[in-house]
Amino acid sequence: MSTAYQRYEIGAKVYHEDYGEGMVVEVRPRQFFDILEVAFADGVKRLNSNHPKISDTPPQTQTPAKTTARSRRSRKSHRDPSRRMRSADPLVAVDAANDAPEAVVEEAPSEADDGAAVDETAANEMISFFGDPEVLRFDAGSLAPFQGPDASPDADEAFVRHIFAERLSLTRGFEKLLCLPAVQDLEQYDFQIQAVLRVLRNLRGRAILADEVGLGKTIEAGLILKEYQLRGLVRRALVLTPVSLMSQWREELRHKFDLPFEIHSRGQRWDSYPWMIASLDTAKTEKNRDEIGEAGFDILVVDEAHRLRNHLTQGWKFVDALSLKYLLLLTATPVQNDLRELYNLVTLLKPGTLGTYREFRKQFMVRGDKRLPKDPTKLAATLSEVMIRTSRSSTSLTFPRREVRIQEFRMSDEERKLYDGTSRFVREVLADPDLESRSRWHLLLLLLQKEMGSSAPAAVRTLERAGRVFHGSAIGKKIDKLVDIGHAIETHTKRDGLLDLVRDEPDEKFLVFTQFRTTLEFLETGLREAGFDPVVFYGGLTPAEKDRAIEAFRGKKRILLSTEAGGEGRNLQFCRTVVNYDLPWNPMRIEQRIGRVHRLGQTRDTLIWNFTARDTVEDYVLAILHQKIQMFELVIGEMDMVLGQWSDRDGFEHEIFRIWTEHRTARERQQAYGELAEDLMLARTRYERIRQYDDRIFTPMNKAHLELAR
Amino acid sequence: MKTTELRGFTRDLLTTHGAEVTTDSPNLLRIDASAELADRLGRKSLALAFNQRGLQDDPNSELATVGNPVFDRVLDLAIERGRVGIRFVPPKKKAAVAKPGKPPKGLTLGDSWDSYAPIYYHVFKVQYSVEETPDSLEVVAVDGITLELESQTPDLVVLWETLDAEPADGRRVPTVLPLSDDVLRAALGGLERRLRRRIGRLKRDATEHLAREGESIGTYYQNLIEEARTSKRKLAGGLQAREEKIRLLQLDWKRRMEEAQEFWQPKVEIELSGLGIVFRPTREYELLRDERTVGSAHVTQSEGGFLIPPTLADGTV
Repeated sequence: MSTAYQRYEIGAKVYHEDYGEGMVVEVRPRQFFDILEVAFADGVKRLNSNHPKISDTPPQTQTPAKTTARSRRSRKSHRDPSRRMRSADPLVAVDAANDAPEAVVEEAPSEADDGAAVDETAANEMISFFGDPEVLRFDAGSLAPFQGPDASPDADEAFVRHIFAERLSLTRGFEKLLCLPAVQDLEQYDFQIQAVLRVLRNLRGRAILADEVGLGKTIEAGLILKEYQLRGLVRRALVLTPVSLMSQWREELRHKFDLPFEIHSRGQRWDSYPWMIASLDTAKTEKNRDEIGEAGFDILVVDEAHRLRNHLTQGWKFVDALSLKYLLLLTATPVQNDLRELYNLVTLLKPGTLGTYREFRKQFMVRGDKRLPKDPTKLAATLSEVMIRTSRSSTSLTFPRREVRIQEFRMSDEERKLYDGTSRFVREVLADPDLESRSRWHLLLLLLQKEMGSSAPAAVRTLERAGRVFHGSAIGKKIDKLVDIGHAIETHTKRDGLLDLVRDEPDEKFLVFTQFRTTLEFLETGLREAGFDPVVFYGGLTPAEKDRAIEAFRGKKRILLSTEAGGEGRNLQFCRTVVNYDLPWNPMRIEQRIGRVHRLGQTRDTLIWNFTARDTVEDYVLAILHQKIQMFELVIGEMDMVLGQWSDRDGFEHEIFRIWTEHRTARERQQAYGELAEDLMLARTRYERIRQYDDRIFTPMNKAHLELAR
Repeated sequence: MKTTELRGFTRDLLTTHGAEVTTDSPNLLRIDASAELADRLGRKSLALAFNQRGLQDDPNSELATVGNPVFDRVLDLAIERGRVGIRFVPPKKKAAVAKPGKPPKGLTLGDSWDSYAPIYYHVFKVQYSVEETPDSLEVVAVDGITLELESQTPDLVVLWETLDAEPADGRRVPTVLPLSDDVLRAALGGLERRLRRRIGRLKRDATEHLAREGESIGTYYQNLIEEARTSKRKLAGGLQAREEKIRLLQLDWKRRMEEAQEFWQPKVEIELSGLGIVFRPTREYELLRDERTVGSAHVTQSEGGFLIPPTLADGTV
C-alpha cells in the first residue's frame, strides 16, 4: 500500500482553512485517502484526509518561501495531472480554481510543462495504490488526451470508430493462422508458430529470421509465404538462395506448402512465373535487377542473407533498390566480422531502426572490437523490432544423437583394376595440354570419377557411351579397355556389404542413398535377386509416384533406394538408418541426405553408414569431413556455415577433384588433402568464433523479442 | 466480428477521410483515396476483401485484416482520433419534478436547476506479458458525482447509437474535461479489482513457463557440460582448457536462467485508450453548510434520490 497521501493518527492535530484547529478522533482508511473524524470547536466533522483544505501545520506557521515553493509545485502539478495524484502533500493537490495567484519563480521548461507529457513514475505510483507495482504498469503518457490542456471531445462518430478499431487491433489479426491446415507433411513446433505470428503481427512481414541452425528457418519462411498467399497479400514472390539449395527450396515449398515455385532459368522473363526461385548471384546482375524490379514481387525471401552484409556490394544495393511490401532475410549468423553488417541488414528492412550509421557506431560499437556491442541488452531490444532469433536452448527440443559407422571395403582385384585404371585415364586426359573442349572434358571426367566411387556399372555405362563417341581413336581404345575390365568384374564387394547389412538388421528400415540412377538400378536388381523388395525414389518419378514410394516405405517396405534429387522436402523421420552407398564430394549433399531423417521430429538416435574403399576419392573425403572437421557432429546447417568460412560451397567438390587429378602419387595426394583439411579446420574455428559472437550479441533477444511481441 | 460490421466501419471511416468507396460485391470494397489519404495508406486505389469469397471475387483484392499493412493504416486513422466521446441521455419530456429527499445531516438545499450528471466510461487497453492471457479492452464506468463504480458496463458502440449528440435546451452541462484525478483513481481501483483474478492466473502461468524453460535450459547445459567432460577431442590447453570451458558453460547457464527469470516476470501494461462520457439528465441542488455553498447534489430523472459527491468542497465527507 502506498503512502502517497497524508496519513494522520488518532490524537493528531489538524488545521482546516474554514474550521480552524481540530484533533483527529477516528481514522477510517479508504482506497485513496482516509476518512478522518475531527473534533473542531463547533463539533465533530468527517473529512477527506487528502483534501487541500486540511493540513497538519497551522497556516500561519508556513513561511512565505515555503508557501511559494508549494504553490510553485501546485502550479506545475496543475499542468501535470499525474503529479497531483501522487503527491503526499495535500496542498499540491489544490485545484487550479483554489490556487491563489502569486508570483512564481520562473522554472526551466520541462517535459511536464507542455501539458502533454506526463510523469510516468507519478502515474505508476497511482496504480501502486492498489496494485502490485512489480506486475502492473500504467502508461502515464496515455493520459495526455484526457488530462492535458487540450482535452476535448471529438466530433461525430469518431469515438465509436476509435473503440471499434481498438477492439480490432487487439485481436492482432493473424489471430488464427489460416495456413496451418493447408500445409502437409510438416511437424509444427510452437516456437516456429510463435516466430511466424510475430513476423505477421508485430514485424509486419519485414524481418530477419536468425534462428540458430537446425530450427527450421525455411519452414518459418514457408508458413509466412503461405499465410500471405491465403490472405491475398502476396501474389508474386521471389526466393533467392544459393544455387545448391534451390531445388531443396522448391521441393519444400511445393510439397509442404503447395506453393507453385519454379526455378528461374537463364533467359527466362522474371514475370513469367509469379512464384520464382533464383540465386542472388543471378538476380543481382545488371541485366536482371531492373527486370526483377519491374516484375512487381510482393515479397522477397533471401536465404543465407549474411551475403548481403556489405552495403557496398551489388547484392545489397540490388535488394535495397527493390520496392517490396514484405522482406524476409534468413541467416543464422547475421554478424560475421563487424557489427556494421548487422546495421546493413537492418537498414534493408527498416532503415532508421538503428539510427544513422554514425549514431549506431557511437551507441553500440566498441572502439577496437568491431564485433562486440557496447550495450547488448539495448541493442537486442532495438533489434527485436526487426529480428527473430530462437536458440536451441530456448526451445524444449532435444535432437537425437547421430552415430556414424564406417564400412570400409577391400575391393576385389578386378574392381581395383578398374578404379585405378579409370583414375589414371582421368588424370592423363586432363594432363594433356592440347586437350580440346577442356571444360566439357572436365565435367565428363568429374562425373566418371564420381561414378567410379559409386559402382562399377555406373562408370562402365558412361565409359561405354564415351567409347562410342571416340571409337577408333587413341582415347577410344583406352576407354574400350576399361569397359572390358568393368565387364569382367564378377564380385561387387560394396553391394555384397549392403546385402549383409540389411540381412543383419531384419527389423530396421534402411534409407540407401546413391548419386546415380545406374547404381540405383544395379542395387535394386541385386536386392531383388537376394529376396528383398526395395522401393525406389528418384527425380524422374511423378509427384504421385513419389508419394506412393514414400507411403510404401512408411508402411511395410524396409528399404528405400533413393537418389538425392527431388526428395529434399520429404520427411522420413520414421526411419533412422541412412546408408551412404556412395559419398557425395559436396558436404552439403551429405547433410541433405542425413537431414531427411535427422531433423526435428526424429525421436531415436540416427545411424549413418558410410561405405568406402581404401585409397579412393571418397576415402579422402570421409577422412576430411569425418575425422578432421567432425562434420557428423555438427547440427544440420552448420556445415554450410563452415564451408562459407572457407570458400564457396561448390568449391569443395572441385578442390577434391583437382587434388585427385593433379597429384600422381598417394603420398602427394595425402599431403594435399591434409592441407585442405587444415584449411577447413580453420574455417570451422572461424565459424565457431562467429557463432559465439552472435550468441553474445543476440542472446538477450530470445527474451526481448517475445516481450515486445506482447 | 461480422463481415458486415467490418465492412461498414471501413466504408464509413474512409468516406469520412475523403475516399470514394464503391462496391460490386457484398464481400468487397473498392477504394479510391484522396491525395491526402493516399499518402497515409500508401496507395491511391485498392480493393479490400472481407472474407475468402471476396478474395476469390477479385484476385487483386487484399484481406481486410490486422497485419495487412494497408488495413493497419486504416485502423490507425481511427485510433488516432476519437479518444473522447460525449453523449447525452435524452430527458424525458414530461418528467415528474423530482422530489428531493432530506439532505445529509448538517446540510441544507439551496437553489436548483436542470442539469446533467456525467458517467465516465474509461476504456482501458490491458496487455499481458503471457501469451495465454489475451490482451483486452476493459470498460470501467464511474459515476462522476458519487465516484462509485457502475455495476454494469454496456457495449459502448451500441449505447452510443441510442444517445443524443447535443444537450437539451436550457440544461447546464458541467465541465468534465480535463478528467479529474478522483474519477480516474476510482476507475483504476475498479479495474484493479476486475483484473485481480487474471493477474493471479498470469503469475501462475509465468511460474509454470519459467519452470519449463528452466528445465529445458538446464538439460541443454548439463548435456553440453557432460559432452565437454567426456569429449575425445583434444583441446589445445589440455585439462585446464577443459575446466575453463566447463566454467564458461556454467556461467552461461546462470546468465540464461537469470534472463529467463527476468523475462517471465509477469507484467500487465495498462493505458487509457478512450473515454466516453454520458450525461444523464438531473435536477441539480446547491448544498449549503452554515449558508456557505459546499457543493451540489443531483437527482436523476430515472432513479430519484440524491447523488452526492463523497467529498464536499470544504473537505467533509
